[in-house]
Amino acid sequence: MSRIFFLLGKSLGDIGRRPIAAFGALLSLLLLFLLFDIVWISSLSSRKYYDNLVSGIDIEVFIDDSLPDSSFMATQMAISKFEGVERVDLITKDDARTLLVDIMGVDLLNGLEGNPLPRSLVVTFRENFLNNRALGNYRKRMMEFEGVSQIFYAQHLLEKAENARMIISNIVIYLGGAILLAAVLNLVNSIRLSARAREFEITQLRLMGASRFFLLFPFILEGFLFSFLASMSGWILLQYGTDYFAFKGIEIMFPSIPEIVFFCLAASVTGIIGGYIGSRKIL
Amino acid sequence: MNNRDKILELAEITASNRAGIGVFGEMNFSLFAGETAIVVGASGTGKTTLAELILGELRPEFGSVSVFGRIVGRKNERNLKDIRQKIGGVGGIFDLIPNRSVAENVIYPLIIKGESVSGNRLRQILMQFNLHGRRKDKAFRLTRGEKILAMLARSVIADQPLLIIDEPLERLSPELSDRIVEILKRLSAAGHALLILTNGKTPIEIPSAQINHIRDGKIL
Repeated sequence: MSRIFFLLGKSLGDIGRRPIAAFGALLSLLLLFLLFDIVWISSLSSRKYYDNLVSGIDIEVFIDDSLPDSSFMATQMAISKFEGVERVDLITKDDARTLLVDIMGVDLLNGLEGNPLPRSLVVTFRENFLNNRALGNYRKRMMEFEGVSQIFYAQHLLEKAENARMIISNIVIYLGGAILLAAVLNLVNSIRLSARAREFEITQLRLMGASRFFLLFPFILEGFLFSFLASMSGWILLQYGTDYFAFKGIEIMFPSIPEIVFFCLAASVTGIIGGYIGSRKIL
Repeated sequence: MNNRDKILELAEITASNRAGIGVFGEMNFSLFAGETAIVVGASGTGKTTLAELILGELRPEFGSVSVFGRIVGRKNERNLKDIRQKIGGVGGIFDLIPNRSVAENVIYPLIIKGESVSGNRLRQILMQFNLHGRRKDKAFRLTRGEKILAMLARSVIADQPLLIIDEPLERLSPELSDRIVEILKRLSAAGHALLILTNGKTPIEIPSAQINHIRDGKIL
């Protein structure tokens, strides 16, 4: 046990003996982890933004003129019983004409014989209920009703938003991987430099019969500490930093506390591995 | 350890130094517990290579090295570690750790073994070697003579049965040389086996020591 305490003290002392190098290594790791955190937050926030966009969508179901009013009412009733549906508003042909006049400012149908605009049902869902998958399913089910000619729900806008979200997700995967790789390489190099600087000491300790664990421990501890501190500091900085930024219409989403803890632990394990890889050649 | 135990045996050794230059050919050498051997050889004849072979830092091309009855080989790290913990080193490839204090350097072999040392024992040893006043100084501040003394103190505190001492008197004043020789005599009398490597320019006289010479890649 006393040996462990000695090694701990010695390792911390070694870090303290070269404060500028240690600070530089810690800062560069912190920046890399910070970048990773930002990418992660961007991904979560864009997903949330997309979900909000989808959940606020109304579906408009256009009904063919040939459908009798009784069937039309039955369709309205059936749709209103779908899970998550808050209400189904009926837009008659006259309502549609009034809406068109409101939008255009003039009655474009004036002079035409009859009203060519279709009847429709506007389906409103409960808040935060709808997602893209459910939207697809409902579209399919609604199309099966008799007399349904068209379903509209800003599909193109959603597709664009979905594409943007997919691009961000891909960026997160590749960029996140690249950033983590850079963090490991950075740490390995930093530990290797540290080990090189202590090569003479390591040789002497080895000649005295020091075990591999005894020689490796300071570097592994250094890797662990740097990674843990850098990853933790990154999240703390972001937690307080985001209070100073506000994006209109975008809610900044953080990973959950267990996810952050898992990330910091994973970073620490990466630090241990980096410490081992960085020093093993010198030993 | 019984005095008739062979603690060191190099059999039919053919080996090169780190530069790849052949220094030993079918060389044999052995040392018993409590025995002192002085190996005399000019620079480049293989004195340091001999120390490196014993410590497993170099491997012979042919032949075997056995220390404390165990074969020295890199493959068994635990074996090598145990052997090295029993060997004290002074000079040559052995040195102090420059940025550590004298006291830390002296107790290092014990820490490595996982043993503790009392403050009294440490003070006693440091005073015995005239180093107590310098116990907090970093090793790089010591003179060569003080470094030799600190390395001897390190071996004494760890009670290592075999000491390899490489050119202990080189560049030392006659007074300090006499002091070191006295310490070596005391260590020999206390039962430590000493392997003293020297170029012979400064004679080292230790009673009952066997004198060997390195010639033509052999220790005679």
